[in-house]
Amino acid sequence: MQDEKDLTPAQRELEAALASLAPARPAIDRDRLLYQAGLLAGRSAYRRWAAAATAAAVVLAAILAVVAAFPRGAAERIVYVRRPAARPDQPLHLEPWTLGTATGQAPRAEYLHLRSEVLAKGLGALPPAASGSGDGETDEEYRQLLARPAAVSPGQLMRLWNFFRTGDES
Amino acid sequence: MGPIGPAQLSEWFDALAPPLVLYARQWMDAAPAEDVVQDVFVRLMSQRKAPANPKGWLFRCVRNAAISHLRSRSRRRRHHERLAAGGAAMFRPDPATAIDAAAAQEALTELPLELREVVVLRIWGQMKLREIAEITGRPVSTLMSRYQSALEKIRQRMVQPCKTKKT
Repeated sequence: MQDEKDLTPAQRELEAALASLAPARPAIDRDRLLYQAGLLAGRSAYRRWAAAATAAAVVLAAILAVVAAFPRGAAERIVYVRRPAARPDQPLHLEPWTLGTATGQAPRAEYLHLRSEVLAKGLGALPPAASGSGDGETDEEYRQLLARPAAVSPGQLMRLWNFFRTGDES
Repeated sequence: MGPIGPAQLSEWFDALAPPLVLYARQWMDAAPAEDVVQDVFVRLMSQRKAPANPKGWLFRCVRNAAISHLRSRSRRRRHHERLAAGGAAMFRPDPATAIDAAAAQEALTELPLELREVVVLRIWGQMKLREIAEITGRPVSTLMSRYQSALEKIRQRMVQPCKTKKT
């Protein structure tokens, strides 16, 4: 060990002589010191317990508050219900079709109203402004084109039937 | 290690309180040195478990507390004045010892603090230089050279004949 090796004999002798001197006894009261130490240790143990009890109380209060804030009835639950499969013989119930356009634009209310009027009352419901379009078409042509099937005579129907069957226009 | 019991604390106090006070006195007077040592023992008792090296822990705590106490410049100046003047006895007077306690104290107080500290820890603290290095934070080689230098200074001081006044 370096402690011992590097000292000269004179230094070792002096070291031994100094070591024979005992340090002065301190005036500290040992019993009082032990009492103080025990008291402090007891206090620190008490503080630890008090801190632990306080923390537990805070946690308990927080849990109670959460439980009180969310009553049982309002708790969300997932319930699985067995549904009978749809039978093919029963008519399929569909929601009524709503009008709309491919571009997503809703048709105008006036147009829909006019359309329903025309379907209900015939072409007489059309307003005078809608009768001319500027393409050379007349009101009469519109009327013929949009005339009800009931207005077609039986003779015309027979001719149409023959035309689709044989291609004969006569 | 488990918590410290009163019996263990009492044992450590009997064995280590005198060298600890002597060590603390390198920075302060006897009364504050005793206060520092007492506080350190109380602090040791309040530890949840005993330190691995209680002796080293005690000396380190005393050193830190003493240095903190001496941070005040006025306190430091007063301490050096009292140290130079002699102050309370550091050693128990014993005629059977091979060396005069008062002369040894005088020689010791004349040393610079860094040399004195090594001597006190080595001789009265009964520590190896490696342990002293852990407390002071200095390398062993430095401590060894300081220790040798301190012993040499003390030896020269002890063999020096007493100065006499010229008439």
